[in-house]
Amino acid sequence: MSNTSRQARRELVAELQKKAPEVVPDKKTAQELQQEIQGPDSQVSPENARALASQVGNAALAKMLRDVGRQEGPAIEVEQVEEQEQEEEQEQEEDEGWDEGLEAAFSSSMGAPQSAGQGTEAGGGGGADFDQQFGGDDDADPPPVNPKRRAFRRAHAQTGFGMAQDKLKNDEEDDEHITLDELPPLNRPEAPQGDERLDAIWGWLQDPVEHADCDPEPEDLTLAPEGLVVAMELGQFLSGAAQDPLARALGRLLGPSAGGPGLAAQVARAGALGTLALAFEAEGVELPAVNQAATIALERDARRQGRAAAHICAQRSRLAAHFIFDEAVRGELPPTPGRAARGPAPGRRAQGLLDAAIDHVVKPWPVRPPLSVARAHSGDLTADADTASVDAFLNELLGQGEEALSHLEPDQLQPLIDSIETLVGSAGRAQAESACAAIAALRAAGAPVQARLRAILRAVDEELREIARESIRVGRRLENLVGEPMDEVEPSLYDAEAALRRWSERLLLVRESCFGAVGRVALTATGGA
Amino acid sequence: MSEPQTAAAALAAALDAQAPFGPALAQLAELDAALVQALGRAPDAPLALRALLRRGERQLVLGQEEAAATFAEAARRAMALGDAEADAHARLWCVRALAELGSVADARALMERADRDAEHFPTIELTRGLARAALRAEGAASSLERALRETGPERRRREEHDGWLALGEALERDARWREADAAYARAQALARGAPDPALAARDALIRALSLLRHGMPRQAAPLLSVVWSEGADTTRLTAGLLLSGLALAEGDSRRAGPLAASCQALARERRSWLAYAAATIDLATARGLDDPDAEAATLREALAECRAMGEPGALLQSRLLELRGQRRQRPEEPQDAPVTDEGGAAVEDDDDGVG
Repeated sequence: MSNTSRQARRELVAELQKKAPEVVPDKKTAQELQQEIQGPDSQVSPENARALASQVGNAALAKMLRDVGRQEGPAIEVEQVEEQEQEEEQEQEEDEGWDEGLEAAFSSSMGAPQSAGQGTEAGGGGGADFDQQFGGDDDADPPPVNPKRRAFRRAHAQTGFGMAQDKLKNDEEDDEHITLDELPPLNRPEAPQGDERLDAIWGWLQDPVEHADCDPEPEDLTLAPEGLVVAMELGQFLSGAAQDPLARALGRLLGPSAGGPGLAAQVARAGALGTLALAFEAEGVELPAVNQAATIALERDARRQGRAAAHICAQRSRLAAHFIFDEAVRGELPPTPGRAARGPAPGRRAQGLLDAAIDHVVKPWPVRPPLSVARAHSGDLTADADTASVDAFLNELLGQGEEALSHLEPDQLQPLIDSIETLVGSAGRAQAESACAAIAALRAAGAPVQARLRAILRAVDEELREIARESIRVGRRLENLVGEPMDEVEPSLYDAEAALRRWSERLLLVRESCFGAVGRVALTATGGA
Repeated sequence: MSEPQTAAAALAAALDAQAPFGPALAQLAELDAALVQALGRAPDAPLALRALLRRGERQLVLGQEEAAATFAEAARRAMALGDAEADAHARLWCVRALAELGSVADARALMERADRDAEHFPTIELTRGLARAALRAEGAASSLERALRETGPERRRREEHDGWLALGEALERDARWREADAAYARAQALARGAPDPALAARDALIRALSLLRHGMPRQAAPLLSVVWSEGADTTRLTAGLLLSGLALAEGDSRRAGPLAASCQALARERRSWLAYAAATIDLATARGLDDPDAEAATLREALAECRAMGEPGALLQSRLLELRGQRRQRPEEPQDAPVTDEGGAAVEDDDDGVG
């Protein structure tokens, strides 16, 4: 259960105890609700539950409605499923819209005549007018970013990220947790040993309430309890990226499985098998790298968070990888005075696994290779060079020789212009992807690596802007060739095509290098490599 | 032939006969290295080339990152010798080594030419199939199926084993899971025949996992039992947790209890706390089938033990919360009084902590 819904439940109980008749239809309902909160055995009448749901709508009530729906018919469940589907669709549409918006924002910033160096802190090139043109408003409140969940890390437990039970145990004023006295004493954890070092999934399973459901129905599992979702996410990562065949096989199995009753048993088994899959992988790859890769792979929110932050940055005309990163992680981690030490470079296997983890989180878009200019009237000006040559050959065979173009026409340039737009858009997208990678790495590794991650993003930002600038320059040179004799412009066209291929390859390389560097930085925080 | 050359040839033949299986792998790899060094300046270049390929294969089995460099060196020498088949063979090995050791992009870059060159040499089809499988490339399954139709010489046993395993995985991805199971069984038989019991146990576990995934727990259980009795620590614990779960699903507390207790001990030893929680919950459930009060007592005892070792035991607490919920659901038992704080106000009872 999320903190938000728990808080909502607390507030609801308090409200009910303060007798608010306009919120609760009648006293009986309040008692029923309290019973529901205290135990899953109680029942609430459907009418009352519906009336409450319209006014409160938290997770407990959703569960109540579901329970009621089971007894009275599928109507409520169907409504819920439809609602959920609509939300998912809406989210997907928003995602797509964001991507297009980001690309457009980056393209427009790069397309401006004074665009050289804009948006970078370094202010290289024409960055002198950066503050005037793209400085944004630092004082404005950022739009709210969704609250994030964070995994506990055993390594952090001794340095600030206290475990939930420790915190509760010491919090004598918190009289709500009256069952605490029954917990046996918790000794201070020692330095992690054995499988404790593989805490990637363990960290997500530290809330006892969240994983308790004494009688989960099959439908409950489709509503995706957090513990099982995390295990399945780890399984998805391992089944695709693990180098050990047994780790891959176990990864494919992670999720609900046969065993004792209750959600806790399911979550414990899935978590245990996930940890054992990591242990198999660690037989061939350095253990810290395996754990850090899995930790990064489980940072599912990083992508959404990065894109939300990119959207905010785009609104402020500050669309740069390091600004996106700053926006996303603002206030998230306590500042630390030092930097993480640079460790030795990880081995090839470790690096491969870390790269795969970052790919898993970021899900980078493919960079399309640039198209070529159509040299003749083939009827399809968007055809690539291979298709055009096949067409020409077929026409020759059929005796339908084409009329060679004498001058360069604007339509002929369209494929190249489209490629330039795509490339500039891809550079903008790569800004957000790099930031997402850094966000995941920061969450996995902690505050000491923040400065180094930001430095990487600044360098990436400069590289990406350089790629975008050069691509736009190629486009402007091409525009000047329109109307010139074909014989004369042919060498320039070849040069332009070659340049675009080069910049496209460089874009891929920059992105890969960024992901690799981010993974290495995340690993150094563990002292491994 | 000089005396050292004869000795080198004899050693090469002896090493050739040893397929890379079993616990002596590391020692054999050392002999490989010594032989490659000794043959470095020898006039018998084909012998040196064979030694390099064999060394690379053993390095790959051992997971050593140098394997790719060894195969690259072999490809260079094959090219110098004008041996196109050995060249293509070494390149394919190199692709597989790069892909399996984490450099997938480099492996893809090498694959195009190696794959094209290998078309002309059916004897290296198995290596080609394994390279394709390592890259998850199209045609891996058909290539492996073709190559594995006939059994090769003794020295090719490990490659065949890996081929069956890779074929099983490729078939599983295509949802041809019955054929996948047969392929895994062939891999398991080769490992058992080597003999390499640890590898055979791993293969049996992979096979059991595939069967479980496809809803065949009855067929998986005997394989898991083999792993439980013959496997190394990690494989045993995995098999034990799965077995106790299967036994509980069938309501067999007599079988589930001892298994879960052994898993609990193994997990405690490894400080694998999620496995400890899973085993404890299974153990408690098994005991609870005979004596309802024993379930909570077992959980409480385990919770005290792990908390004394610095582990909060969150999932054990989750299970205790579930038990409290179940007690409330029983109509014949009186319900617990509402939990109240000092002021008499009702409070959440499922927020944190154990009931």
